[in-house]
Amino acid sequence: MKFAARRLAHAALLLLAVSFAAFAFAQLAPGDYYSDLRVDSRISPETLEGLRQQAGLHRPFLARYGAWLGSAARGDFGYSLAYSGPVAPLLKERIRNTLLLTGVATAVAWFLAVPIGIWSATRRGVVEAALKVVLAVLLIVPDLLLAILLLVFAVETGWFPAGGMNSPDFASMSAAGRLRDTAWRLVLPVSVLVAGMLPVLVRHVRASMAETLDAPFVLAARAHGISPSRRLFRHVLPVAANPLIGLAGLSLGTLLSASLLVEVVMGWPGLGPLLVDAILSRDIAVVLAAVVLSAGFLIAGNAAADLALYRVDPRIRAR
Amino acid sequence: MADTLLEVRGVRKSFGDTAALRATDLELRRGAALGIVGGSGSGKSTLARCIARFERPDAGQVRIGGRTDYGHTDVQLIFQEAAASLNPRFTAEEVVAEPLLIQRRGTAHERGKAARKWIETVGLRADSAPKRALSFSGGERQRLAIARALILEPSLLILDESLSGLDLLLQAQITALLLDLRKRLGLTLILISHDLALAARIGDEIAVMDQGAVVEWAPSSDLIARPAHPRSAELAAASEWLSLRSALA
Amino acid sequence: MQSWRIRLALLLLATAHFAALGAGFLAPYDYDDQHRDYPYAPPMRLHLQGVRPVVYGLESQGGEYRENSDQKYPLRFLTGRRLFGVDEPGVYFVLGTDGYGRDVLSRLLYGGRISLLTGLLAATLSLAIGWILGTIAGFFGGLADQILMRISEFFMALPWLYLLLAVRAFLPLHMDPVGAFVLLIAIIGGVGWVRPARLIRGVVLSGKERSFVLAARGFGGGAVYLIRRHILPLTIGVTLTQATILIPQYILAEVGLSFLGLGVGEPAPSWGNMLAEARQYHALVLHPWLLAPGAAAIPVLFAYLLLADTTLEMSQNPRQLR
Repeated sequence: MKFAARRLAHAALLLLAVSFAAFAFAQLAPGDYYSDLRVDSRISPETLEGLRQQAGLHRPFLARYGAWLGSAARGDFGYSLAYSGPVAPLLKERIRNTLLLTGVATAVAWFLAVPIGIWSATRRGVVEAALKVVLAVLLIVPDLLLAILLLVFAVETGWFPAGGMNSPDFASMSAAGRLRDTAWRLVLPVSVLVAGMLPVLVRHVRASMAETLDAPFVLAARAHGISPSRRLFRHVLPVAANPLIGLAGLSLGTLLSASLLVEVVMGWPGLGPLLVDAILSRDIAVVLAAVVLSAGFLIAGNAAADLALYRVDPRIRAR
Repeated sequence: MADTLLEVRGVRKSFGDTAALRATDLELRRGAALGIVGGSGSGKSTLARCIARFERPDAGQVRIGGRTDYGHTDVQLIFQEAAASLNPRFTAEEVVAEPLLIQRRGTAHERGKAARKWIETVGLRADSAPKRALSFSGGERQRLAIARALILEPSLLILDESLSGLDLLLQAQITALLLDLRKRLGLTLILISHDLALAARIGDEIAVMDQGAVVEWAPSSDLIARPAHPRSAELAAASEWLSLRSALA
Repeated sequence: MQSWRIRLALLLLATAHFAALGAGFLAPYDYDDQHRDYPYAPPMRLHLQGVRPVVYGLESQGGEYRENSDQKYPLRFLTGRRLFGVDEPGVYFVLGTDGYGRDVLSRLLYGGRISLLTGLLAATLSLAIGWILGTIAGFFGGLADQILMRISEFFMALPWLYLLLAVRAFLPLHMDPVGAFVLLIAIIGGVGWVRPARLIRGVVLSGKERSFVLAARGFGGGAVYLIRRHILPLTIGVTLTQATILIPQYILAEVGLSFLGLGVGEPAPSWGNMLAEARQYHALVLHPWLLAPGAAAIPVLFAYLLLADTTLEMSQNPRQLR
């Protein structure tokens, strides 16, 4: 339990440091939301200054950080000057959508990668070689291009809706209808993300399996007459799973980055498009919140992976 | 005392809480050969490293040639696994010449010449100088390590377990080389080992160390025949070769 | 055995970079040459008149394009300072045109310059910073190492693209192409030094404990000598592998940023902002040649992947140094 406490404290401190740095960096940025308005000659400097005062942009740095931190802790991420509304509700919805997308993509990717990896660790031959080629192709084609191609495909065939998370008549659908609608719209973005993740995951599963299968204890199990399936599930997989938990933690960052681009291209209303739009409209509060939240996910995800690893791998506990 | 080369007075060294070396005194004549034996943790390696300036003693003094501020031309240390202490990417010539390069002695040409001379001195062919260290055998690399140590012409050469772990034939060859070099160059030698028989072959005298101090010091043959300290007796018994010899005697 | 892979990869890369660097010569048009009469023109074919290649006249009729075989424009080589072209009023769009009537092939070549170079230069920056910091931390340890570890943890706390965008967010939005180019290199390179630094630190850390380093230290070798003569060669393998991984990643970073409108802006082309036209995917269905930048990227990425695999294999078998 001490390990868990320390690990979580470490995560919290890291997040705090990131938020501080982000806030500081944001303040250093030349100009703010109102700077671009300055170009508009219809708005007088006094009005601008008044707006600034209203938004509290004149207070000293640490005071502002403290205020921001306090509100953030309560779930209030300030006021979006571009959307003219509080940031938090916006974030909540977008985060939920991103989590949905990345969560489903992760599940599908692992669901496919594990059996494929296990299977290919033990076979040679034409099919396995073909598999390697397919995976290599998936690795090379950039996510961006794949996303665009799938969109074109969607438009051409009309099989899938091109972009957006909900159909226009979403609100009037039944619960089952809504589920189907969302699921259908998830297919394309999830496919792009899975295509990006699959090659790496399969390679690691395959390597981990191959290494474990070679281990002396597996040979011993075989010599003891333990059946192949029992060997696989009781002896091999638990050990092979170990480095994969670490991998899950590491690949989270890549997944979030990939998801950002996919969300923007395919019109999935997640954290990504929110951040990009906020940057383009100089909406500092939103940018800050989105950046800090993305860090929050990654830090939390890594901490979770570390904790899982700690529970699963007795060797780490011994250290 | 006729030409004392090495003087160790009251040298102590601890690592954290562990006292590796307790007030140790030592004296060595020029041209002598000393074997220092002991089990692991006896402090023999620490002593060697203090003498060779790899460690700084907590107390006491080491003098070589009467001076405490001696340098790389006065003493050289050869490690255990000497073969691994060569950069495999270097050529034999680069390996042996490296001390000269670091000490900025001579031109590149002179360094090359000196290196090739020493490569020959340790029994290797001079034309093997441009070959990569990687391509030499373990024993040959051992010789290269010795050549490298000698190129700065130190008065004192310390071998820290350098012969342990070699097969017996190789051990015999390197031992012969060292004895030959000693005769020719008037080298002063210290061999550190856990093998009493090996130390006795190279050293005229043997110092037995236990728990950070010298517990016995005697000429080699005397020590083997009549070990005074229990530690010495243990080491003598542990040496297979010695047991064999005494069994045959 | 792996040499054919290396040769193929180097061939692909050499071709791509040569084409990009030689854009001024190889491209038939300037990157901002607009042909208002020919927006979204499809790729044009060469026809043979006897043995001479000719291009037919292009006519537009209500959005559709047709070739007029009565108008023949022979293909000329080494016209002015360009490799090939046709005389006015003929046009030759090898890969068609975009919405402003600009030749896609020309923009592809000029754009390749930006995208490929950004990747290369940013990777060089990351590796340089990473190598220096990693070596210092690994060799001297102590406080320097602690600081490096803390800072790198900090950088790795954000997903990479989010980090890039965060930094980009707080810099001026609109910049001239040269400024944007330099800015991109600085940001992309300046943000990605962490992984190379950690890897190199690891190599240096284990390297400095090796007995030949200790031996050299025993002869009086100072830090600079030891690093230069013994440690540096040990870091080459990992640095090369990192380069083959970072460069394609950074090319895609530039493409991504420009695609989002946060990188190189109009009228300067980059593969990223060219693909941005594809955001209107309905237009894309009708004009698939706009995806040329994406297709062009693939062989480049493939080549780097080949190199990455082979350098990885080579570094895991150090005895097989050629």
